[in-house]
Amino acid sequence: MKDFRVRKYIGIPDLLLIIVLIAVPTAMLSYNFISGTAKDTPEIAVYVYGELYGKYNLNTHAIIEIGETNTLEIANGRASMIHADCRDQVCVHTAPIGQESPGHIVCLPNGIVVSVENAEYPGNIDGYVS
Amino acid sequence: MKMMRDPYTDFPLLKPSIAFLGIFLALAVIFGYVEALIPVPVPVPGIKLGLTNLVITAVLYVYGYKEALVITTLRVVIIGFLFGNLFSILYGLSGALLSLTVMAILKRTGLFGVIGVSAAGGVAHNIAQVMTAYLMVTGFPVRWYMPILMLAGVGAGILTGIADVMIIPRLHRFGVR
Repeated sequence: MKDFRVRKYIGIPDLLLIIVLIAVPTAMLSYNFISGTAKDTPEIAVYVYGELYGKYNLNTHAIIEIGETNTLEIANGRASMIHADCRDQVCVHTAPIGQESPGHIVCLPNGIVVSVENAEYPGNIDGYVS
Repeated sequence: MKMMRDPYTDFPLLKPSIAFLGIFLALAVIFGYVEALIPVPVPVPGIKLGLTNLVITAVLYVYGYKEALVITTLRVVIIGFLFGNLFSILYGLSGALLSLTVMAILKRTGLFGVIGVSAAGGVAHNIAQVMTAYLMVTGFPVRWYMPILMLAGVGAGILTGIADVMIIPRLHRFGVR
C-alpha cells in the first residue's frame, strides 16, 4: 500500500479550533478568579427539615441556637453540636466538621442537618471513571 | 485492485473484520485499566491522558463512526463491570458518547485533521463528565471544574491526536482491516 496518501494533519482550521478550545476555559477561569474568590470561603450551613436556617462563617467564634432544641458551636474553624434535647445525643457525639474534615452533623429527631459548604474536599477518591 | 477512499480523509476504506475490531476493543479495555494505574500529578480528580481515546480515534479514522460507537460503548460497559460500578458506567458512557459524536461530526465537515478532532473530542468528553457529575452530585463546583477539565481535555486530546497521526498510517500499512 505504498500509494497511501496522507492528508495534512494539522491546518489552519485545527489551530483555530484549538485556540478557541483553550481560550474559552481560560476566560471562564479568569472570570472565576476575578469575581468568585470571595464567595468561595467555606461556611457552615444549617438546614432544618430541608429548609435553610442560616449560614455562618467558619472563621468566627459563635454559639448558635437552632430553634429551641439544639445549640451549635463554631470555634477554631470547626463546628460541633454542643447541646441537643433528644435522648440519643448522636449529633452531639458527631466529630466536629470543618474545612479539613468535611461532613455533616445530623440530628434526626429535630430534622437538623449541619454541613460545610464551599469546602475543598481533599483527596478522597471514591473510584475511577474511564 | 480498486480501492475505495474516504472522501474526507482520503484514507482507503476498509471492510472491518470482526477479529481486528476485537483486538481494538481489547486494547481499549486494557488502556482504560492501565490509565487508572498511572498516577496523575495533579490534585484535580478527572484529569487523565485519555489513552482509550487513542484507540477510539484510530478506529473512527480507520473504520468509521458505527464501528467506533460499538467499540466505545462496549469498552465502557466492560471496564465498568470489571473495575467500577454502575456510576462509572454512567460517567463513562456520557463522556464516550458525546466525545465520539463531536469527533464524528468534526471529521465529517472535512475541515479538521486528526489533532483538531482529537482535541475537540477530549474537551467534549470532559464537558459531558462534568455535566453528569453536576446532575448527580449536589453542590459540585462546576465553575471551577469545567474550565480546568476543558483545558486538560485540550492537552490530552492534542497529545493523543499526535500519537494517532503516527499510528493511523501505520495501521493501514500493517493491513488492518
